Amino acid sequence: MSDFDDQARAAGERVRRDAERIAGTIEPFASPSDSGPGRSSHWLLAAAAVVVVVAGIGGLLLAANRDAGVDTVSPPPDSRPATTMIAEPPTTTEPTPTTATVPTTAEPPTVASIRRPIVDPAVCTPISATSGGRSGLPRDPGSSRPVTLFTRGSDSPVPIQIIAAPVDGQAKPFAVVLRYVGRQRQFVSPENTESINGIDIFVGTYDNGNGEAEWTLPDGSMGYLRSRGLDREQLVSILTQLTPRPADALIPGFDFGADGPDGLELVAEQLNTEPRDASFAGSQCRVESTGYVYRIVATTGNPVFTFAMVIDRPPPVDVAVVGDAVIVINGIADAAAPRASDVLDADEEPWRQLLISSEAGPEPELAQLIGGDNEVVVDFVPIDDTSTLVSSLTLRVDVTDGVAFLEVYTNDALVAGAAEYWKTEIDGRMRSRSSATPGEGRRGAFGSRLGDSPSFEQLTEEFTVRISTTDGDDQTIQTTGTIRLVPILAAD
Amino acid sequence: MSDQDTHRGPDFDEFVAAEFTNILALALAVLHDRDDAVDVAQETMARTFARWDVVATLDRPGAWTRRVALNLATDTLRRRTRRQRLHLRLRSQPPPIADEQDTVEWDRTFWAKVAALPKRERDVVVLHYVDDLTIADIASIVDSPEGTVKSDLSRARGRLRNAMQRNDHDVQDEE
Repeated sequence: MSDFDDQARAAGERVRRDAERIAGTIEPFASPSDSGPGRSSHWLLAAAAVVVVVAGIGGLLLAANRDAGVDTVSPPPDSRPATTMIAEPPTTTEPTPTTATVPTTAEPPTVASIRRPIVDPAVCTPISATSGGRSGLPRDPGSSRPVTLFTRGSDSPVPIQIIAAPVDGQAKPFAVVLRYVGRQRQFVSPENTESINGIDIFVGTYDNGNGEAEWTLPDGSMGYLRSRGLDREQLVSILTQLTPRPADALIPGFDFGADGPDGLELVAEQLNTEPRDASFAGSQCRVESTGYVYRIVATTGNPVFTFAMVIDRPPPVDVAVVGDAVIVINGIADAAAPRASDVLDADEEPWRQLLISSEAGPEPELAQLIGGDNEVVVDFVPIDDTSTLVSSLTLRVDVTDGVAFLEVYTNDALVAGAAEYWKTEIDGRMRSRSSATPGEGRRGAFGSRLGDSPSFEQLTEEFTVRISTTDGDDQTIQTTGTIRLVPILAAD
Repeated sequence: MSDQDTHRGPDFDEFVAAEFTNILALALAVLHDRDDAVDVAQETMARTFARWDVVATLDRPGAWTRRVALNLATDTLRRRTRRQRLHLRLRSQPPPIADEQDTVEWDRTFWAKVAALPKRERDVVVLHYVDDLTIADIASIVDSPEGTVKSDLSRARGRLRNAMQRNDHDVQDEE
């Protein structure tokens, strides 16, 4: 035993003695069955904790608590419909090509929905569950804060419009169109522009199925489109059909013409500041053969929210509409990945056990593919999570002369005023530190060499990355949290 | 009161009597602040009580409770604003538990270094040195393989040993 170990153990023993002394000066927590004089405050604390727990997990425990006589928290009274449904779903449908694995359009209305999504344990072992988002938007439907899509906030209300198939559109190719007033960004790449209706529009489509477009309108406002599953030709077709509405329109976005590609229509729209009545539940599971973790989410309600849950995150492994629920699976899309057809509606008690596991354990990190055209966009949030600042960093892996570098692009980052340094940790070890410039949208990038002596072949193992800003005393100010990445570098 | 409540009261109180001080010690080691540590310990027990009908059926309810406590302690660390941290570093009075006469300077520095460790290493160190648990027990609490716990503990020890040695040199230089 080393001197250091002896000292550390002695320090531990002294903390225990401190704890014993402190415990002797306070009333320890007691259950209500032992309540008597002097115990009432702890009983109230316990009762408060129960109510908070019930409120936190929404209606999932209502049935169980009803038997136990626990008050439940009712949702607020209905507000006016927050979203305008533009297209009415047809009552009869023709079979159409779809990526949805669970057909619903031709099903009778008795198709069971899913409120507690888990993957069949034979396919993927459930780890944990949540009845709400951990942080950020639009993951929190109960929040009154504006929806911030693609980590792009705005001081003015932002119209959000969904161009999609009128039935089960979340599981098919679709686009989200935003219009920003008073916010202009200039990163348009001249080699990827299209002249559409007299305006130069940046149009990008990527191997992972994502697409985007960005343009500046004559009035100075900015249009921004993000898509799933649409090719460049389809994006151009959509953009051709967009006509800006007057600035004083109720929803000052775009009108959409009748000649959109493949029957896509403007199916929903709202301002990002309008309320959204939606629910969200999710679980995580691990495929034992690969060790990869998958996230399964079921959303219902507000269509803008349910579309956003598909597109405002890494490209999904699978999406399906089951009853009125949109099921999204995120993770590594390999042969062993679970599919939406493997998703079940959990019984109440197993679900409750998973919720408990979530509270006790660290959140399993969702692995994401990186390399080649697969970039990873991650939330970048203040360590003090009371702040509403949300921005993002883009991570890429580049290989030059057989040496791989992790590149961090800061264009979409909002760097806090107190930040002095960028810090990059890989597999828990600090790999680089460079100066940070406070402010928004500053173009820039910094890189870290991956591994001590990386060779191409070594980049097959997954690794973790944590990017942070710190002050001069190395105190973390903003961070991405720990991100699991899986390289998919193809040989040159 | 239902039979269920009657049943879980005494069992839960036995559990609190056996574990409250252990949980408080873990929180104290991480937070180095009496009030915060008591809050974490009480909140941990409140959450345990709220789930007691399920937690009581676990093989090791104490492991579940320790995980909740360590996560709550980490949340508390994160919530401390930069201003509070600056105040903690600059204020002339020592932190609360340092008021005790038998607490030595070495301990203050040591626990400050522990608090600065990455969460996984911090949890392992606290469970090892404060709770005096075996590697197998720690592995079950932090939900990691024993090999990972060993390497985390080894890495954390190295960091702490180096940090404490640097601190000793700094103190000697000042003298």
